[in-house]
Amino acid sequence: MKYLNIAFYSFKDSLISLSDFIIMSIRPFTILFIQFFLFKYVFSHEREVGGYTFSMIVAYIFVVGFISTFVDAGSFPYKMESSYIKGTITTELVLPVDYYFFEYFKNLGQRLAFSLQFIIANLILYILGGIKVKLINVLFFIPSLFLAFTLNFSMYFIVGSLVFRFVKIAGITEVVRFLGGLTGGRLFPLSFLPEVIQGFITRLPFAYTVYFPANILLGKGFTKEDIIIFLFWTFLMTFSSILIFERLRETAEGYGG
Amino acid sequence: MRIQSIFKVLRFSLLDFFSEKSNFILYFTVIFLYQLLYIVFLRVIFLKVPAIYGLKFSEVLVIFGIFQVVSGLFHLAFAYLIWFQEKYIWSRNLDVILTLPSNPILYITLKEIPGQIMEIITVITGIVIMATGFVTGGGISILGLVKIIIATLLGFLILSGFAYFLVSISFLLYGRRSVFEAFYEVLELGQYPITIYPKSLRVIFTFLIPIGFLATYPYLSLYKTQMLIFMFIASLFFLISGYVFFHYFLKYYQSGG
Repeated sequence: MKYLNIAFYSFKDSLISLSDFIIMSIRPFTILFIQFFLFKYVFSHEREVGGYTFSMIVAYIFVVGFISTFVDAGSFPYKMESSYIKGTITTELVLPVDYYFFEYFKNLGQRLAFSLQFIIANLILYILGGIKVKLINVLFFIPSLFLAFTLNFSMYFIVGSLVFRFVKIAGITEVVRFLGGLTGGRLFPLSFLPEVIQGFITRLPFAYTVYFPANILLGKGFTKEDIIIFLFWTFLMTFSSILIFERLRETAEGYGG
Repeated sequence: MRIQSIFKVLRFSLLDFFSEKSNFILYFTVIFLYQLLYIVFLRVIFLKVPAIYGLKFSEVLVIFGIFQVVSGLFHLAFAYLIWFQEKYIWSRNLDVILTLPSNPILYITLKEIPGQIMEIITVITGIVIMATGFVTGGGISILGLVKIIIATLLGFLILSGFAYFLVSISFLLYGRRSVFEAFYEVLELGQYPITIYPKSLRVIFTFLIPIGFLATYPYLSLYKTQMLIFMFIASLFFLISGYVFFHYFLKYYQSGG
């Protein structure tokens, strides 16, 4: 219950600052705007690309906009780096809560607040754009979204934990962000890629953070194998992140607070 | 601090930044990976279509490179707009600056550049991307090179004039920090040819928010000398009107002290 309260207050806190909310709202829409017009041009020449029609790709970029905003945890390692350097992490670690879950639920509330505008945008698209989404897909999508959030957060939690070893982790964080952006399907559906590359990329954990949940919602279908790999990556990353964090914090020397 | 001493500080901060090897590698990695992501996105689009509105991949790459150079220069000089209110209005630093016998904006710009020196890497990578575009696209003549350098600098001047205008607005909008942050996000729309947008938006991106001058028009000036003249006139217009706006809105400036 206390963790749900953390998520709730984090959600409320994120909506207090109007300027922050506006910025967080504009940022993902800028790239969405570019994607829309570039794809519009592509689909004026091709009726179908990678199994997508133009209306499907519009739905895809809106859904992906929502998912990638919701699951985003890219700034978490920077927050951890700053706390470690300033020494405030020592105070955070002595709180009567589990650090992983504390940050997980804090991030969850924040991301939910920042993705509100996308929920509205998707609802408008659903009502006015004639995009059909089956209820069964929504029912599968909701748990997949939370699993994707867990998977992505855990990966960045591992990166954040490296602060105890390397102190400066901006380089590693950016490499992970790059891989996430490239292989997660945030800019284009992975089915746009040549089959050989696609076969490899869709098995990486990043593909399950955005591309896979989007495909579930849009009814692109999935296999039993996809579900197994998705669950495998999520559990592996979650347990690894907790283990790595616990092992590395033992070696850390804290000061200040 | 006199303007000459600011130049000295600038020189030393540049030398200091480059002498720290890890700093350079870190920022290079961060900026390069960010740019690479969008180049890969472009490449995927070009796997599906041979050209976008008549522009080949190499040409769009040049536009992307020009965008990096101009926006890098702009961030180097005007990133402080984001914290202008907090640092210069709320904390009353502007009061002192206004009493100095130098242009306040030029003074603040030169004073802030050392803190943003890492943007030099954006400019360098932009030049590399531009060069790659030119080499893969069949080269460029000496005259073309001169034209592109002039047009790129004019693009920067046009945005600088617009920055003057933005600073002017800040005298009216107390605490609206998000206006500038949002503007930096909107600038991203200029990284691809503005020909991808509908005509109405192209007009806005030319006369209202000068996004077109970030990359597309500098590139077009390579083929149309009239575009270079148009850019020159536009730079005078934006710089003069920005300057006039600044001095007009200065009347509304109320010191916090």
